[in-house]
Amino acid sequence: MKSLINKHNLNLVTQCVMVLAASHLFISPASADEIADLKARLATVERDLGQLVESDSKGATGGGIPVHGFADVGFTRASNNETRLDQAGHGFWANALDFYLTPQFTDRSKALIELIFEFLPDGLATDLERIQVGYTFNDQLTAWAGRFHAPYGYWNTAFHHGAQIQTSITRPRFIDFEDKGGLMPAHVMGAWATGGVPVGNAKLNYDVYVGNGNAIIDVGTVTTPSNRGYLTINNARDSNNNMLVGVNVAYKMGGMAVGVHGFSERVNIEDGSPAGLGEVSVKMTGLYGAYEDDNWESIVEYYRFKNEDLTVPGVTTSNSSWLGFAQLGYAVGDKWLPYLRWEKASLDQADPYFNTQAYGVTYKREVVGARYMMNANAALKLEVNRTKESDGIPTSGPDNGSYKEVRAQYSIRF
Amino acid sequence: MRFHTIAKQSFWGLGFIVLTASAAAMAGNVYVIAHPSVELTQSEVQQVYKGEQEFAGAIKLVPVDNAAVQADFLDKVLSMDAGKYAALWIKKGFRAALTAPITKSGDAEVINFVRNTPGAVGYVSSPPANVKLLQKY
Repeated sequence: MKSLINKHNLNLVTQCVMVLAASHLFISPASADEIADLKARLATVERDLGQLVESDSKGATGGGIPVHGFADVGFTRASNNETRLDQAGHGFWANALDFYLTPQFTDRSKALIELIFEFLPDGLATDLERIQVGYTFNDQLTAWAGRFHAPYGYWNTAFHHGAQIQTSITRPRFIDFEDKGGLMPAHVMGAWATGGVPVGNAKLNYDVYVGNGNAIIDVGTVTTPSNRGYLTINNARDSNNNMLVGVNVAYKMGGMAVGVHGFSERVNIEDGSPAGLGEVSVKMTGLYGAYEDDNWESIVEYYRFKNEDLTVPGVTTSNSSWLGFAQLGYAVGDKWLPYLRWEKASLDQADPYFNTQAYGVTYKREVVGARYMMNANAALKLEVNRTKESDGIPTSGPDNGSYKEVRAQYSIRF
Repeated sequence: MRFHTIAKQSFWGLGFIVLTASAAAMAGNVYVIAHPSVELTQSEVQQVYKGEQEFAGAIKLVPVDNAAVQADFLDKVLSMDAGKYAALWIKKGFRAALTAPITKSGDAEVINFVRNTPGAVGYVSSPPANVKLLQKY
């Protein structure tokens, strides 16, 4: 709230009084009493002003918790018109309305709370996206507990639901959100240690995290076109007592970051029956890099999976797959930023981790788009993408695994 | 006669003050100040205002912005404009739950805050008295 006292004006008035008083002293003879009186009055004004400034300063420091957020609306025209997890088909849409706040309890204790509202095919959904409570020991260590964005790669923690700060409209499909067909956990319910160590002019950042192991649910139901399931992060408990453990180390210098990342866990595959379909031991390792400055917004990420199929008791089978994308964006003038993205997933269809997920199929996608910054808080984007799937997806029918889209999006932050 | 003389002297006196103030404003010097508990290099000041450093030793830093001098500070110290600075802190808040520096309206507020807040770092437009000066830009 704006202060009732305009200190700037008060400063000016006080300074004018002092100048005129000083002028008066220089110009006309004054008695010792008058000088003493003026000094006393000036001291009073100075004290009062100091107190006013101090009280306002305290008010500014402790005043309320600002709420920020993102929202985006748009239109999609697709070459097929099926309701899929990762696309809207034809028509207008309002995506997520995202609110987040970062209360500071003490100079070292803090929290991040993020709540989103979004329209899904079956109605309006509310999602407590993040609720993490942390304590900062020093620049080398902040400890968090709760539900947080999984700290692998660059994209997942950099943009997430922040559509307005994201270069493109779409995320790479394989790192989309769990309920949109993403193949990796975008969130973790657990604990996370993060920090950075200076290395010359650069910084070595790290993340170490542990959380509830994931599950693939709704396998064999009609939730998805292929009767496959989707990943869930087990918000309430770890369904198989096998924790997700992950590490991420990045070297950052200026706008550049290069890193290595990995996680491992055992994932339950559930079809609704008490026994389920068994477990998969998942091990991901990979590399990534990002460069961002006044002109460039570029990201490259690579993920390699070496999973063990444990669905048949006593038999362990290893399967390898990889996924990756490269996105380049280059600013043209102050407002425009055209971008390109190429993404590919080469997934072993003998691996239950992928062959039970709705979009766990080999695919490639090319994306071309442009972002126009209307102002610092609003962006207009236009994007064209082409996706070609193979492995396990029907090659006939309305959803033949290959489709094209044109998307337009208007996104804001506040 | 006496009134005329006073008016004339006041006019020139005020004119001198205005010219002096204008010259100071045009020079656009920025003085980075800190609470006596804080010691930071130029590079560290940059890191603090970019949200890359929160501590000086064991002391939790409390950076403060000065609305009256911010444009000069951003240009001279961080080499960015206000839009990019705001975007930087939006990202820092969203990604790392960091809170942007609080903003004070002018030198008097900043000096008062820095003087009385352990860990505080700020910047002002004129050479400060009775407060620790870290750097001049």
